[in-house]
Amino acid sequence: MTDLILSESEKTFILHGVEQNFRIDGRTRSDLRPIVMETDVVSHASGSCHLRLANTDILVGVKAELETPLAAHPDRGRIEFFVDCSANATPAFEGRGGDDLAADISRVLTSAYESPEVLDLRELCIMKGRTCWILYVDILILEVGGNLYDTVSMAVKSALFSTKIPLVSVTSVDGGEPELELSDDPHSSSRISVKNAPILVTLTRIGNHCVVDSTPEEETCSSASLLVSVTPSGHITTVKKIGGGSFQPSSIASATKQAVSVGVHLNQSIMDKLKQEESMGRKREKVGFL
Amino acid sequence: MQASASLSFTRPNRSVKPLIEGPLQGILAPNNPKRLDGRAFENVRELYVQTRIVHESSGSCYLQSANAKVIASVDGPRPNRYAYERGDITCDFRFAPFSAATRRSTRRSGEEREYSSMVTQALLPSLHLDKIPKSSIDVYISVIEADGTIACVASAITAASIALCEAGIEMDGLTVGCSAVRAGGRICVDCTGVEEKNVEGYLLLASMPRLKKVCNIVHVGPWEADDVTHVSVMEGCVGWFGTDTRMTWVFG
Repeated sequence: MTDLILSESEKTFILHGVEQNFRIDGRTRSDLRPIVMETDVVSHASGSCHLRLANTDILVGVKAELETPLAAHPDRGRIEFFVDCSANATPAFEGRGGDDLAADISRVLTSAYESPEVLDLRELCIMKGRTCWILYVDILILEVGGNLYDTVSMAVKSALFSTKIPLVSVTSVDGGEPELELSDDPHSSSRISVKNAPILVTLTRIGNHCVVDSTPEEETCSSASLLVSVTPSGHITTVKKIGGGSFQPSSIASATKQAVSVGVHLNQSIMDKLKQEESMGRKREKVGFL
Repeated sequence: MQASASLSFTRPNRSVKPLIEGPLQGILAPNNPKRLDGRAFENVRELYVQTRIVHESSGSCYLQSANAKVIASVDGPRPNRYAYERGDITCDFRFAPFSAATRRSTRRSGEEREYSSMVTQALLPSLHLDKIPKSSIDVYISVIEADGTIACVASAITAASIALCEAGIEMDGLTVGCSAVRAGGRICVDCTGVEEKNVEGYLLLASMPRLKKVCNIVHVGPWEADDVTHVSVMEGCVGWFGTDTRMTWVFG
């Protein structure tokens, strides 16, 4: 992402550290940096999450809107991802610089959430063929400090967890169109189940090993990364290679195994924290952006 | 004899392939021992390759696997003062409007952009782009007849690699693409359009079989970890590449 220039000896130092399972900051190959996260930070959105993983900062807002379902799937709602690489994150994102990366991230998220076992989109249907909820997930990248895809996916999952969809009642009028009534009570809302929502795990290949959660320095040392989307049950919903290098077939197999074990553990930790935050209820002190 | 007053011809707005009644569902169902064309589930379709198709370009390749036809042509290396340290490669992958049963729009869709980036990713590891700084290479891929969308992308990767080779770009080896889908819990390699309907996801693998390197892997769909690294897709690549003796004849 950033144009870091590392000398050959610095690259060799990183390489040797990875081989010995002891990276520059002392982590093992499968460790992540500390994560700070808070949901419900944006008042106008149905759901939101502000997640910071070391120096990577992501803000996700989810808005639920009523629209007509697609003709091909009349009994399902939709989820759409939009990514905005803000020029705050890196000077390279200024103007149209971040557009390619933004399109890439939204494509990966769409593939990851595409399979029917991930999100039950039938829960979002109100009237078959007429009205459904569409979840617009808007992702704002505030700062890039390595490991962008994983952080975005964690923020998206947390924002979806916190999304409150207003309850809709259908009142049928005699001889006319059925009318929809949105409940005025802000506390009566339904939630979508994210218990199968995936998290992306990027494995950056450095030398003969793959590391999880790479720093910008480690990203400079690697030529190829493998992006794996892992559900809490250990299924893989999408795999993608990033970068101009190549992999050995055996390293793909070991990388996917590593991704699955890290992904399952990470999914569990995030869900635990989200439930803990939810249990604090309205007494929770909102930290916000300060 | 009076001619009839008016013969109104209302031109149909879109052309639709006539529906054929037949067992379209369950082609790859678990109880089916073979596929429609009699192949085993791990076998790829037979390949026909011809180079020097487009005389105006630096290199070109026509690839046909059973019914699917792909043309790749390379333009370059051309001078490009913005590519400082290494050359730049861009792939433009497009389906021709008449390539499938329903007509495709001429405007480039997001799907075609995604496939273009898959092909670029697959070609990058094999090319020595640092040997051609300040240049750019354009690869144009047209699918003339599509028989299996993801299988066409796999053929496009192979065709583009052969075209780049004919254009004289230095590379480590030929990149071969192979695709697979999963249906009914079974992995099925190199599927046709009919077989690709209603599947549980696809996998596209591009590799350099001679160097045993995987250049690109793309997978969508809820699979187990073991299915993603299934050996049959890799062997599909090798199976296609195994025809390399025939390929040297084509070049020679």
